[in-house]
Amino acid sequence: MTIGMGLLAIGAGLAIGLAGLGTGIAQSRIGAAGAGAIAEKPEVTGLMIVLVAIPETVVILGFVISAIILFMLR
Amino acid sequence: MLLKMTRIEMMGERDYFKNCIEILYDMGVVHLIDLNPVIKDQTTSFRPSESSIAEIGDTSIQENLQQKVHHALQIIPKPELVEDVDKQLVEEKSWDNIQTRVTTLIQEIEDIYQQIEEKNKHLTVASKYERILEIFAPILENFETMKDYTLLGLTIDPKYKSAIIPLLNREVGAITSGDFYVITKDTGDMVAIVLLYNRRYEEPISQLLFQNDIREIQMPSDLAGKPFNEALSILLNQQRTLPKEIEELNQKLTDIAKKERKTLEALYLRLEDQLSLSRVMSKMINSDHTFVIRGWVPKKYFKKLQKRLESELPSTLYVKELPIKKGESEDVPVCVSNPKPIRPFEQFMSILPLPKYGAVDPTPVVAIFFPIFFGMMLGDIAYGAIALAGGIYLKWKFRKPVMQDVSYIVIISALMTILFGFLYGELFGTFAEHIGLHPLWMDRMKAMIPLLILTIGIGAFQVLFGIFISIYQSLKERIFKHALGNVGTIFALCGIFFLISHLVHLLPKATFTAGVVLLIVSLPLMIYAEGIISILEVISVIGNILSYARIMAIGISSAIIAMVANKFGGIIGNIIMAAIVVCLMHALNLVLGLFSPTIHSIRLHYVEFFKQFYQFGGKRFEPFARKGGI
Repeated sequence: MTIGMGLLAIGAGLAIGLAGLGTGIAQSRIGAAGAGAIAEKPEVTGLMIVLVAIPETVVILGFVISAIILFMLR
Repeated sequence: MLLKMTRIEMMGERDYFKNCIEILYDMGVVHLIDLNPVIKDQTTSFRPSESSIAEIGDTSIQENLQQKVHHALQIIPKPELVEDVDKQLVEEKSWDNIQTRVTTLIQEIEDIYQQIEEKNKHLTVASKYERILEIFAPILENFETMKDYTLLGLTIDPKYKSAIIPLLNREVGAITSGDFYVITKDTGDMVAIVLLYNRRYEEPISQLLFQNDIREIQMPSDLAGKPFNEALSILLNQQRTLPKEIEELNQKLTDIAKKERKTLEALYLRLEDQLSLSRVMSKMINSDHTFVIRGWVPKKYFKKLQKRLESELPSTLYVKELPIKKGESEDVPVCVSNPKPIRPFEQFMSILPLPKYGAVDPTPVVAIFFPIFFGMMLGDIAYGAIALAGGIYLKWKFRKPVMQDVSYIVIISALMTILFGFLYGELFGTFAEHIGLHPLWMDRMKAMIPLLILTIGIGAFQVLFGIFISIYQSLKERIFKHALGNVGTIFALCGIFFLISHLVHLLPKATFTAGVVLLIVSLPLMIYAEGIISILEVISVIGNILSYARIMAIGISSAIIAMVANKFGGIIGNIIMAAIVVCLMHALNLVLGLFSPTIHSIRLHYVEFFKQFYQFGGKRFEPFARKGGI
């Protein structure tokens, strides 16, 4: 295990960790607004579930980057 | 797919207006066009048809009656054995007669309902005093109310018992000169005290209790003025008798429901039909001798409609198609109709606004790709089998059309999950290895990068397919500039693909040149068509394609959780505990595994795929059709 490999591992962790944090912040806001919208109009429930899933792209891309980095470590 | 529509006009003798309406109503394929704007501000002998149909009757009576019937249907239960419809009432011509007969019935239902509500309210209050009643009832049994005497009920915490009871005896004795009576009962969690004294000492005793923070038991507001023992006896009586009375009233409602529910339901539907008829009537126009009706009909039903109208009505009626002029396509209602195997997937489209007339309906694409994406993500034989069992149960248990559609989607997606389970060699994750089941295609835990490339490839295919649909729509609508912009986007994407493939040594050097050429060609095309901003659009499309990596990411996360569940079970020594833990973890994974792939599969369509071409803004096709009757 070299310092370079350690840095790569940290990079992989940061890639998914920070992306997850960003997604969480975005989802919290969408979720709060969505809860309000559903209370007013229950028929938008399906749409709101999809809207909450939209920022998950960020964490999924983070996961992909992280997976690629981990493969570089092998 | 969206059905091709045609605009029709029907004109005929006024005497046959009602017959024509009956046929249209029966066939249910015409979306009526409001003709009032056509005759507005014009000197014409035509007028709206509403006033000319005496048979419809007063709509305000019908609206009022419909509300009442609806309310009654909400109140009465749905018993299994119900008597048949009272045809005489439902088919009665006079609305006044119907109203008189139905109002009495509805009044009876509402009265019973009010009584049940009232009694339930009292029972709820009485149940709040259950503990108090339990403690005080034996003390106050046979306790007569004495004239000029006040009876108080008090409760105190047992830890203050030794201080408060002597204090009460001493102080109340001093105030009343011994003319008082105290009974105490310690139940362990509470000490109940009954205090009886002459009414003339009420004020100083109230003050004494207040100063020592001893609280009198508060009775419900409707019993506030009554003596404590009387109020208690009323509450006790309510607690004993009300459940039976409520049950009797509920039984009465059930009996009425058995006899009248079907009749009320049929009447409700007849009212619905009648009111919808009166609502649409104002869209048609007539003069003293002629009537005119215009509407939209799906083209495939036009001949059938024309044939029936011409065969059942005299030759003085003419039906003709009116051409749709340029710029009128926004007025055309949208009728979505797909083949039976695809139709359940229209549920996904119901969340979105309707596509505009002439646009492409993406339901068939969703029907193909949704189950594939779902199966690729979950990909486990056991999970798929459980989902399949759930889907079959839903189909068998729930008969509502929406649930039938949902169960169909669940079954198809579960079958794809089982198929991908075999391809990945997964049964409860890694458990498949222990029973000698090997992947038919790839072990996704070991082939993450190939799976990543595959999913991005699927994304590129679907997104490009979306762009091609957009080009097709643009050419159809003769918006050549937009089509050119899309061609530029495709060139740019191909160029970027060639460049990257060359950089990672996937393709030979010649592709580098091809990539550069494609990029050079695409730039002026895109800038000419959509402006400089279109370059950013290409980056957004690349983001859309990369987003399909979630198929791999979510799938692998599900497989990893299943693997962890199995390993966790292996670590625990106790076999029963291990089985419980493994089952719980797999159950959790299954719930996540059903929810997440559904959301993400559909989201890929909504956000990534539809974005390329979906044109919304259509008006729903609402045919003038019969809903009820007997």
